[in-house]
Amino acid sequence: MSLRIVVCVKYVPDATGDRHFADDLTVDRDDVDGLLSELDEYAVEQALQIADEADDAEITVLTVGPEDAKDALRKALSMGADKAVHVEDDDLHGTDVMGTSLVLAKAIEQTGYDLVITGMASTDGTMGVLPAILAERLGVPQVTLLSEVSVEDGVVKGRRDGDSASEQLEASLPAVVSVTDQSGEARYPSFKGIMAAKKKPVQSLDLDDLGIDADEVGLEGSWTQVDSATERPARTAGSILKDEGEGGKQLAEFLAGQKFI
Amino acid sequence: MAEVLVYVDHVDGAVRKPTLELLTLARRIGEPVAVALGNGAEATAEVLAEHGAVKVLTADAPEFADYLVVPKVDALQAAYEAVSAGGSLAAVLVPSSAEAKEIAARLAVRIGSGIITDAVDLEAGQEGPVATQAVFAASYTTKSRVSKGTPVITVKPNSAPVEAAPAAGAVEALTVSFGEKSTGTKVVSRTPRESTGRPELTEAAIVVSGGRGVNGAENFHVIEELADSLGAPSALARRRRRRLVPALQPGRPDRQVGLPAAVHRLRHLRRDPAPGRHADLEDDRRRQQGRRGPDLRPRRLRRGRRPLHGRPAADRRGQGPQGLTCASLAAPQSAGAVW
Repeated sequence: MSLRIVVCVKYVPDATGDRHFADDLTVDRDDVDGLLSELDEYAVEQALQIADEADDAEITVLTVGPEDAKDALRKALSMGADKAVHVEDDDLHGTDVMGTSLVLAKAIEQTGYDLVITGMASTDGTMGVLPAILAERLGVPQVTLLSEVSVEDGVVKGRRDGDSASEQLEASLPAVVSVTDQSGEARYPSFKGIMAAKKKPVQSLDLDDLGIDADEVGLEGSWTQVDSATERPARTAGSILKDEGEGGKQLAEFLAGQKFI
Repeated sequence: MAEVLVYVDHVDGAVRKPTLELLTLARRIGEPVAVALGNGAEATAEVLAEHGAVKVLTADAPEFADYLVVPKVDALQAAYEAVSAGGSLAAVLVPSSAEAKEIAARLAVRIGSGIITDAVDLEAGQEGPVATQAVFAASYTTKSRVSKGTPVITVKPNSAPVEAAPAAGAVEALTVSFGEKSTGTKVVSRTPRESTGRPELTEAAIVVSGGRGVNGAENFHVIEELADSLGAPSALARRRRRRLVPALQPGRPDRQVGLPAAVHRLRHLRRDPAPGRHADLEDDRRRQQGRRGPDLRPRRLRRGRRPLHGRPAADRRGQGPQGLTCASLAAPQSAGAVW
């Protein structure tokens, strides 16, 4: 039987751009160029490698986001994914992690899956908890933060490098997997891949298709509230020490003055 | 007085520093009730009591070590139910370690509560605890609160001082029944991380970070020596795509710092790409972009750093009499301490 892999990806504002908040304190996604989250590229890469090993596999990339989020799907398709699902609805604006995970879980169930792969976090929200929440919502094992992953005979295995120990994990499919940036370099799309991606199917879904009420998501349906966002004041210039043989001493004095040592 | 549930991060009974910081924050909101799970749980009670825990709920079972995350969620949920049944539970506080965050998130779904992650400060507010977060690589500070259910908040290390505040710290055994999903992910083997004897990078107040400015792996020892003299961990400033890593492996830095922001949980991060320059990653990238003018590539091909046409001047590398090359400091409490 074919192995159905769903890769969840996010369209995020470019970290090299001037990221800021909109008036309603949501992340401004209009004025800043967006792209496929770098951390999600690792998820797509691992999905492609798992699919290569499997006899028969189909990779679906899934995203929740505005119109522009199609760019992220195209990127993933050009890397080699087979098809894409885009959940798009005006009511989704301002959704928090709980709402997003609900939408993703419904969309994943509707698409059908044996394996869900995500990145370790998004590069904008950087919460890193969505994979765990997805596993909770789907009621399947979570095999998260893997630096190495493989799938064999319906069992997913991987290595998780934690703060205090490195663990070998094992779970039977279906399962939710998240991979870290240590899992292996993501490939660049080939020209052929980019051309082929244009012909690959992108399915659009809205909240009605998923049977989700508008008040369960969005800014109003969010379970958290942002009260204020303040920009960091411009940093004052540091002092540059010129080393004329006494640099070490000056450095030590500076550190002592700042109570570092 | 309202109670605050505090999840204890410990290794075989040795409580990690972020948990003690959490107790300081918890005391601003209510009376801390600690939850310690797994091997050595009861041994944590003494130090937790010294730092303000009025009660320590403990549970130990082989499931905690043999299966990933879910058994601990079951236990924390049992603690939540036990405490919230007794009266007012103001919040559930959890350290922002990778595993604890996942536990917090799954608990939040189960109890129908909102979650805030990676807070750097916490104070009591009219409508529940207000969490401060540093977002977009710390270029913005936000204040948020949970608007539904019992607030579940994870807090980054170094967000508050560790304060002694002796309290009763009565140990109570927690009864946990594991759900059928708890054995889904098996931990087949576990290899403890080799200790360098330096503080954990994620918990350190000072980090000494070096990059290509040291001009090769064989010179990385200068970073290590400075780190040791400051009692700080050393780190490797990472170029995108990890070009430096293989070259610097022999130097064995404690961990890499740099993009992506998600992998390190320091409040402030500074790195010095070459001697004489100071910038955090964001500023550095932005400046380079400005210097090279607008990116003219088609939007969909635009990603990350553009190829560098000019390499940094060789004479800037590996300089400095008295054995000093580049090093930069991340100091949460003192802005401008970077040179």
